[in-house]
Amino acid sequence: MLSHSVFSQDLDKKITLIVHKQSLGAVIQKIGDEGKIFFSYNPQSLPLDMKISVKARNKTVREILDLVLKKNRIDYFVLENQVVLKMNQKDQTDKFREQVPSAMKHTISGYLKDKASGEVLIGANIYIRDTHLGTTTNAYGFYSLTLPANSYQMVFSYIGYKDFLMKINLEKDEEATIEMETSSLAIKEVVIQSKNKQEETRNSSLGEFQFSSKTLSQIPGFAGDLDIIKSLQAVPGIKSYGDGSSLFYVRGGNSDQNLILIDEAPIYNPSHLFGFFSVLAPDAINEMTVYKGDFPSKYGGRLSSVIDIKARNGNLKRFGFSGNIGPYASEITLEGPIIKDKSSFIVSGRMSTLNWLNDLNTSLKSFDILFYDVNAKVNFKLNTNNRFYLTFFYGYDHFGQTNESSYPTSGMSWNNMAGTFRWNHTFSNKLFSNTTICYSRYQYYLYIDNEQKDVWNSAISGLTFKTDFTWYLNPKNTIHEGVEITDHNSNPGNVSLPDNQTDPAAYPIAKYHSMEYDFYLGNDMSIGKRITIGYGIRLPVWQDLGPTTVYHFDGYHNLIDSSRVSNLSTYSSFISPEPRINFRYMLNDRSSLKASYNRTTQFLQVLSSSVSPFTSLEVWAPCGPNIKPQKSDQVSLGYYSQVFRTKLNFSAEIFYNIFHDHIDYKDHANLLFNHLLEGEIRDGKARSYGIELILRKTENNFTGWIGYTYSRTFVQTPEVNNGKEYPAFYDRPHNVCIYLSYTAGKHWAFSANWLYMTGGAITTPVGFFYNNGYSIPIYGDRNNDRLPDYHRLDLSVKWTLSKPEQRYQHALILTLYNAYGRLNPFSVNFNKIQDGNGNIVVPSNLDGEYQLIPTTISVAGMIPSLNYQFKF
Amino acid sequence: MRIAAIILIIVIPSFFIFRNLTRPEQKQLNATLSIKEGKLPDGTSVTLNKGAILEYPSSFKKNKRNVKLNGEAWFEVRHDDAKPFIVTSHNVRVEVLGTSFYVNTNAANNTMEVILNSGSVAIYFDDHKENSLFLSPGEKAEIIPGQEKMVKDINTDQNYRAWMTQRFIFNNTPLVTIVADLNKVYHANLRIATPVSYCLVTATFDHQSVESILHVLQATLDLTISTHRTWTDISGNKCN
Repeated sequence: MLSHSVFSQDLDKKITLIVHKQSLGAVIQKIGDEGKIFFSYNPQSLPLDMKISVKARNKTVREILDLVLKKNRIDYFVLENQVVLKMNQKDQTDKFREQVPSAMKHTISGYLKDKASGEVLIGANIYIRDTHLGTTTNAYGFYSLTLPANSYQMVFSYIGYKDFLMKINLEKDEEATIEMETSSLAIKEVVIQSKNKQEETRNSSLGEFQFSSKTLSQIPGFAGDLDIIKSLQAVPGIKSYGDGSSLFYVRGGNSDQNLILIDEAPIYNPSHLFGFFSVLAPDAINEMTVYKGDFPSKYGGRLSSVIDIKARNGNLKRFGFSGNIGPYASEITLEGPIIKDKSSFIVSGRMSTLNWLNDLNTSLKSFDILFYDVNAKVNFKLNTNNRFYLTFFYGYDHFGQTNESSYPTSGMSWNNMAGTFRWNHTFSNKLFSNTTICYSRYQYYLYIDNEQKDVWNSAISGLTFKTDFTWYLNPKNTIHEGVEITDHNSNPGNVSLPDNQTDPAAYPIAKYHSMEYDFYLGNDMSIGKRITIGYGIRLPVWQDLGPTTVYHFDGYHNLIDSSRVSNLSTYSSFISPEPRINFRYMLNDRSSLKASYNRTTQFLQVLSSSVSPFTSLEVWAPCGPNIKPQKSDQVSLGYYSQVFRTKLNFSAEIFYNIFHDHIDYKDHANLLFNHLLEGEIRDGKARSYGIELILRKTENNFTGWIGYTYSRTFVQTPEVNNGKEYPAFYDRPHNVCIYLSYTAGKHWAFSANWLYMTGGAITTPVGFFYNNGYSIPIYGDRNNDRLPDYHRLDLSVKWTLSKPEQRYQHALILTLYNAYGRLNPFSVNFNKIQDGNGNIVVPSNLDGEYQLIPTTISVAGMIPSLNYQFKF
Repeated sequence: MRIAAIILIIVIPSFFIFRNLTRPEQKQLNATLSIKEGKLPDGTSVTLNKGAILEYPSSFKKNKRNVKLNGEAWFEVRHDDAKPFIVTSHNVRVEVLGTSFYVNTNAANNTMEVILNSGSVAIYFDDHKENSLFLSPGEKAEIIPGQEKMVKDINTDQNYRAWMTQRFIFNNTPLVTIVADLNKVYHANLRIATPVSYCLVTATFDHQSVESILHVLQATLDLTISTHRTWTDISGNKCN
């Protein structure tokens, strides 16, 4: 059985057609036979009897169709393996020109939603056939297009959904909310032909990686549960710390330089214990966009990346529940309408069940681990112009050690809390606004004595009011503007002792209070068919306020003076304009070039002299008289293309980044209990550069990508390392990520993930000297050595027990994290040795010789997990 | 006398036993859940649509190749001048020499349908070969078994094999016919509104799902398609 499949590439097949005065109907038949193409048309509407002559030798089918059909005003486009022919209704030339005079303009606007649940589709593409005009839905699923009065064919498309074609006669302003249907299991991308093929390449942005909940659900998660932060490891250019933490570094920036937003609220620590789980239950996520290159002007405050996560709103049509039960953690989500099609809610909760691991623990000390998170959201559509959303999020972690008598000895805990209230208002069909009030707080506790009453804690919180306007001026210009005001508070680390005990060593360290005012204005403009420019400027203003004590240091970082600042008076302020520009040029239907320049400023940073998480104490401190705001200038260039005659996408990006006023610390810096911690900071500069290559296949049963990144980061701090350049800890030159997924029929899915990273740069002793029976390390250059390379393989198999048409869906997922059990080191320690009994002790004799051995700690060997996932 | 009796007692039963042992056993080809393809002992290939049952012997020993059919089937018969191939259903016989054709014993209105693709076919009741109806390629016969009536006609349905080939060819076909064909082959439950029933379409669909075909039709004729739980409505503006 010969089966034809027509993709736009097949229209590139070369045929010869020579006919003399034959009917159009017969010619179409001939083209179909020669080119092995099926045509679909209404024979009554086409002038099939018209006699035409064609002389085309070895031309592509596409060219012949253009020749034969265009001059007879017949349109063609590819849909589902057919080439559909239709008469072109109005008398218009095929190149749409806006210079059609005296044409009244009208606007079509509305929302794009998932048909089954009513969830909005974010970042979906909308374009008008036969033109280069189009737009995308915003973060709330809203779109708006203003066009001259005419009739158009609009195409709505979004990955994982069937393309929706709509014919409209735009005689007046129209409102069209479209409900899109998901496409079948094997995601078939419908290719809408020729002139608009460029839409696919146009809308995939440089430095922007969009994950819809459908893409996310295909990545093998940890413990059978997909993990949004872990899934970032699979994105080239994003390097994770490794096991034991979900810290990540983007394009040469430090781990505190990533802005993670959940429904517009910043989250300061996105991971649960040991970094294996992230704070948001995966079922609650609608979409996640990762920006690592060109940030739109509405984002700021961090230098390296923006991870913008939009949570799901909850099914507007019917109740449902879903969940995942596993050996380490379980979650459940409930959602449903409050008033059908107008209001809905979604509640997710997750809790860990890790204490059973104690049974496997052979040492006398046992531990107590718990984490849980709750995410609740309610939304209400008052009318077509007003929608309200209320989100609440709380996540808690606790890790404690108990001694033989089950007496708690030490431990740490942290929690994240965030609440947002948002109001979408459409002033007109061209002006969309969103106003948000949100509060986010992160607290970190370290229990340093028994009974957990002596506690060191640090905290950071922010209360933000912001409003964002999107003005869909015309199809060539979309203007964004907004204002943001935030009240920041941070406690950089204080000890609280019960019973009014005072310890002179624990000097109370003043808390920070700052106000941030941001203003931004930007425009996404398209010029002609090939060029799109996004340009804008963000203007942040930062003010530090009292009451506090400000310390003044001399050039040698010695304290010379201190001054008291009274309540609410400003003692330091900064203003830092940030121009942003990105530029896209379509080379042809399949490929494009992009370039961008961004300046960003970071006013709040984490001060930490240790690179390993959990042994470092997190101190969030703002800039001020002793800490300058860190700035970054990034330039990037990229090339994106669909590989000829295949379903593969290739992209290559190179970037160069300069960090000004980069923060580092003097050797042996003391940040604990130090009210003069600002004196420990040394600023300098850093630079990073790299190339990120990725090859992707996103269709059919076999999907995946292979990514390779080569990037370097060097720091130069005048008073560190004798002013010589040294690699940053996160300078990990080679980074490979291979992710593959295969769907076999309706019940089985297999995926594999392999990651490789060069080990991080660390400082190891260059020698030891012996004093009083102790072996003391001598350090040379900063970051002179490397941790062993990190690599691991994750495998997962998903067995879907239910049939696709059933309402109750359930599946069993078997995951092997770190399948070949490589003990990737988490930290390397030179201060301890192992004695004859295998105990780790501070240096002492070992068989009569003073022998110091480095000890490495690994977090995880192979971790298997069997999870039961369900959805109703 | 005794010898004759012994011979009879031994020979006659042995004869029957021998006859039974060498008689070809009856085999059955059953297409219960999905389309089933099979090869008969002479090399003939047969494709049965869902629900059809074909009975045939394990070997064609006699001077005829006899098979019994209930349901829809497509035959590609191996040419053998010496042994005519006969498809039986009730009292209807369809006799061929070497040919490819389609039989539906349960067509609409209690009729049986035979459509000839190539070769030649003779259709008759019981053993009355003298009253045969002959078909030429491209012709179809409608048989009413109870009334012993046979009507010959030109076959206009290009898609009689669509259930097997997954290929539909529509040439100036009214939408109402397309919908009927899709319903028949896919058991789809599509309903068409009057204004668009007589819109004509020229298109070819190969190995596509109903959704995919509807999508193309929607785009070709600007139809409005609304899916309900158990049925789908097709409507739109009247075609010129």
